[in-house]
Amino acid sequence: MRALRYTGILPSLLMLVVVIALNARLQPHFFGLPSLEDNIATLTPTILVCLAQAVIVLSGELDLSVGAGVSLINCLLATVPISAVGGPWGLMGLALLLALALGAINGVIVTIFGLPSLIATFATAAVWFGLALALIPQPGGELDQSVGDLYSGTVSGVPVPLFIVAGALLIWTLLGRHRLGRRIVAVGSNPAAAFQAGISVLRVKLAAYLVGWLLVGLAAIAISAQTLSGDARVGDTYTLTSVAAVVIGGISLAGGRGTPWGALVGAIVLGIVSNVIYFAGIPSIWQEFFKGIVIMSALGFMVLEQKRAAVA
Amino acid sequence: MLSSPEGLPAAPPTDGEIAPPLLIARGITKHFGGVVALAGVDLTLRQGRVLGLLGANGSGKSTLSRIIAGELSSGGGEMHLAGAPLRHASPQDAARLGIVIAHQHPSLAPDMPVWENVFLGAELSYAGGFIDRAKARRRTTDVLSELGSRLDIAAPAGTLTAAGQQLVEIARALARRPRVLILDEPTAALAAAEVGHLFAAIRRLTEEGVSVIFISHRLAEIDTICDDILVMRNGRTAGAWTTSGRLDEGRILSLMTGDPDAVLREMGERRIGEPVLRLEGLRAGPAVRGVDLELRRSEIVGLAGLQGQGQVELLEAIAGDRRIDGGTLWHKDRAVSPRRPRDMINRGICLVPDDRRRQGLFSGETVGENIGYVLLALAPRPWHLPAEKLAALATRAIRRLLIKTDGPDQTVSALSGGNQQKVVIGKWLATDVEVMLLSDPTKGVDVHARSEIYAIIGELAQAGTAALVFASDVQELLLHCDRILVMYEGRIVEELSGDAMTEPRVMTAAFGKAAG
Amino acid sequence: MTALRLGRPLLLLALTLLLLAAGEVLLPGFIGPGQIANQLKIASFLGLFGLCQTVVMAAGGQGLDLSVGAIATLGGILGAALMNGSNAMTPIGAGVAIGAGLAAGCVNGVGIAVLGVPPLVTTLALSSVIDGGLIVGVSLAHPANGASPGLVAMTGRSFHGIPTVAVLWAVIAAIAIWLLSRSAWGRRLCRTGANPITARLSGTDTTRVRIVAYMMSGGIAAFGGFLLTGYVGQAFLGLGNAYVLTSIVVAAIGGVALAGGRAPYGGVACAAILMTVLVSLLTAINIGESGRQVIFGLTLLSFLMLDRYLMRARH
Repeated sequence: MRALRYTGILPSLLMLVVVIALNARLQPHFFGLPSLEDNIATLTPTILVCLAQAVIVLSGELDLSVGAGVSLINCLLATVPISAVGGPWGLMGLALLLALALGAINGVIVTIFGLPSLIATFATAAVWFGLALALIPQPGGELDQSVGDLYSGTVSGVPVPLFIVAGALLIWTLLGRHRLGRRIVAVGSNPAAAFQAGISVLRVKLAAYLVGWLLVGLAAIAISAQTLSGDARVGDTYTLTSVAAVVIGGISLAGGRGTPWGALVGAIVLGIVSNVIYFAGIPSIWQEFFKGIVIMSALGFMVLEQKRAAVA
Repeated sequence: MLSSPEGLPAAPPTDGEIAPPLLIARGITKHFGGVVALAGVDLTLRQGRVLGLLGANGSGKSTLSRIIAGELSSGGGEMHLAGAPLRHASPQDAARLGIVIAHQHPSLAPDMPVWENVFLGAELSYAGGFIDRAKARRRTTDVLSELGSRLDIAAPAGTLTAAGQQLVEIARALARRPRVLILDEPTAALAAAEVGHLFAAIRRLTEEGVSVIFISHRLAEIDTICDDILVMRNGRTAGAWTTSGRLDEGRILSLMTGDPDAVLREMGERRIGEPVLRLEGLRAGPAVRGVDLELRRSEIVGLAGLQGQGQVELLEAIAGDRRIDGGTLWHKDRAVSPRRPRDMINRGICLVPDDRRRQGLFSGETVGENIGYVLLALAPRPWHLPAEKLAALATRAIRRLLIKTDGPDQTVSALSGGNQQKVVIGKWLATDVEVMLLSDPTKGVDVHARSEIYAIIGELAQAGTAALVFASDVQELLLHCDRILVMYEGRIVEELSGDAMTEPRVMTAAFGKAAG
Repeated sequence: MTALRLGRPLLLLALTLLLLAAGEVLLPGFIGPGQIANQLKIASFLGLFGLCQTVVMAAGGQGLDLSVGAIATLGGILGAALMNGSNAMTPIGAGVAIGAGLAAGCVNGVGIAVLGVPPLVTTLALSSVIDGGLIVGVSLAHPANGASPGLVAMTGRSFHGIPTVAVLWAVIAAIAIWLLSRSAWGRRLCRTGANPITARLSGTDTTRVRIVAYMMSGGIAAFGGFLLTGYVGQAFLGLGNAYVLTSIVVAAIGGVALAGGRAPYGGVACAAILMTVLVSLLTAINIGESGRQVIFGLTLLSFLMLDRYLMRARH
């Protein structure tokens, strides 16, 4: 309980309970297996990208190119013939390699060249998007069905998406007990202190980008497996969703404060809000507006809550 | 009060065989922009001994110790550790060689718990880098209890008091099992009992052969703990010797200041006038817990106390930069509740803040821009830029405050610490200053500039300004103030004036023991 | 310092001339008077949106306005609805558009300066609310969306070969440059961005300065959207979207630092011209959207690195 208090995740959890309660009321059989499975499959990429953003934000940086990165990886997967890489697993390996490369580029630009991450990743986002567009100018292309089958399958009864999310969270949990994970938080909390404690701030931030982009790669695979086609704009919404989820999850954009569990909570809250709005029978023209209002209120609530906690 | 070496093991024998040097530094130099911090220092640290490093504020002690600890690169000179040339490029390198520093201002990750801060960068881990939390917690408890502390090791470091953070900083250094331990003013925020525990820990370490560099302003502490003395002045070694028996305080002071008479300067005649500022039970956050004080025209009042007893926060609250939670702030006959510094500046109540680089200056701008900014901030017609007025103000301030600069167009960061501080004070010449609040105005300032700054304060006071000065150096306050108020845990616990203004009485009150 | 301040616009203009020359070599006729006038028109809009970012970025605190697109759309749709195709109502349409922009900017400013929500998050949230609200409004009210003939003429016509909208931009730019670099308020804005703590302790109401900065951004964005309605003939959902990204790009290339404290609008104006010419050249030599995006990103990165290099060289 004390650990919870120190992490400031309680208000986010409160929000999570509220949206889940609403959703359960509105969506018939919310807790039934089919709809639960469906919800999880839809939520998985969001959760992964939000976790990715969380690790980068915790290190004190930001990445506005995660969405465009997802699109670029998706377009690559839809372009490369599956026979060239030896089956669906080869394709996934390729996706993760590309993700690591993109993460490394961002990381190097931010750490070694010392550019401000907000605007530098804004620039790389344009580059990723351009490359994605070059690969797939019009939405289309095709992924092999085997990738989709893998994603919609089960592993000893557990749906694969749930498995992926559990895997990502396991990595997170391990990272939280690992030197690297704690150094990421330390660097975000007070870079000068971390430096004086003998930590290489640059190397740790670079590592945060690599870990983050590994998750982005997973997200791209999940999306591609769902859509089975390429679209240079498929990742567009993820960038901003991930930033919003991080804030709603109680992670400070200044770095160092918060926990990855917050990002998970934030991602689920944002994912379920769309669900709630859909099932509440709100006319479609109002949906965007309500979503905006809900996100704005959630952000405001979190910020005020953090301010109150800081004063107390 | 501090010298209670009872039950402590004796220092290693000083006669007969002299312990071999472990660390030797020769001709170390360092520049920051145009500021010379070190102009060639020599230092010899012997095995298993405590070297007391003394010097006035700004004499370069912290810079030297940060260079030895690998946090700063030296501009020149050479160092040897155990006979081998020492060429470390980072704190990591230094730590690997066993050189560890505990800073005067704790440098902690505020969001992380105490135990993680203690082992930050030197995590105790299993194979594969996973942290052995149980062991880290246990060892943290051990190290802290060695220092006589029972801190909650799970609390985020940012929630601790100044003393608590200082202990974590020291614990972190001890936990690394150093060969060379540098303690930069470790006792400034500590209470007497904690200092006693720290000294016992230092003695245990030296017995094991660890060498310690100990920086402090308190001569009694140096007397208690140090085997060797090194006095620095203006970035140079002014003298070094082995203590034998009593500490020669006169020698230390004359070496520190160079010219002991220069310190004792006459303040002009002042007629203290009617009250301008009065506080009744002022409370602001956790740091200021009910302060009563009165400040009169032309009066210079000192705020003393250990570090972090609420002095800085009190000044910020009066200046309108900190929310006032209770009590009343009277300006002349009016109760005021400022919401921003501007509200107080309009009443002529101005702050020379604690951290001049962060709070007082626009470091990228010129001297003239900095001096003139207050005029622009208060300008009634925001679309207008009173260029001539600004230029005249800058020239006047430079001349009146004797700011050493190439001219108003020089970048302010190229000035020395003392001249930068004069620029911060000079900003306020644009307004009619009724009350000047100064937060440690001579921090990192050389001796000469220090007396100039007090001369400026004196001049302002002669012209009717009331000054409330917090200084970490009690001597300064004793020399320049009409009255001294001592703060402890957010309250004023003692008021001293006239003959009662002595260092022992200030220090007694500073440790929370009111003189009855 | 002065060399640096003048150096950026000169560098950008030189690059622009280089691009124009390259265009003329590759495609004779690229720099005909009609072409130049047309590009000036396009650059005027980009320059206006760049001014929004200049002001809020100068105010510091990772300042950024991602809602300029939504506010522009709001201004365009409101303005079109009110003027309802009539010249007489055009000034009222413009006034209401600007008023709405100021109000939206005020919401941003309060969220950022009073509540302390990061600008990225605040402006983004507001932009999704405005976008969502506009969908509702347009679907329910079906407002008039055509620009009045007068507005169309003003934004489309040229006067002695110089587009009127470019003249308008030049006037606004002159006022902006004067306000940002030759007024007490401009100094307050930049010093608030450079070091908000010092600025506040020196008597600046930094909260108010930041709110005003976001209001200016909102007002200019809405006015830009209103003019855009005239230029393209009608208002529609998503009218201003394209300018979110490009306005930040031109501000950064023009020499405004995200860290705050600098508002060199002269440089930003030159950057708007450079980017417009670059886009038209790329389009003319058949480089598609993908290539343009990549070149955009790389140009921005290069200028960021140049800034970084200059900053290090100075210290």
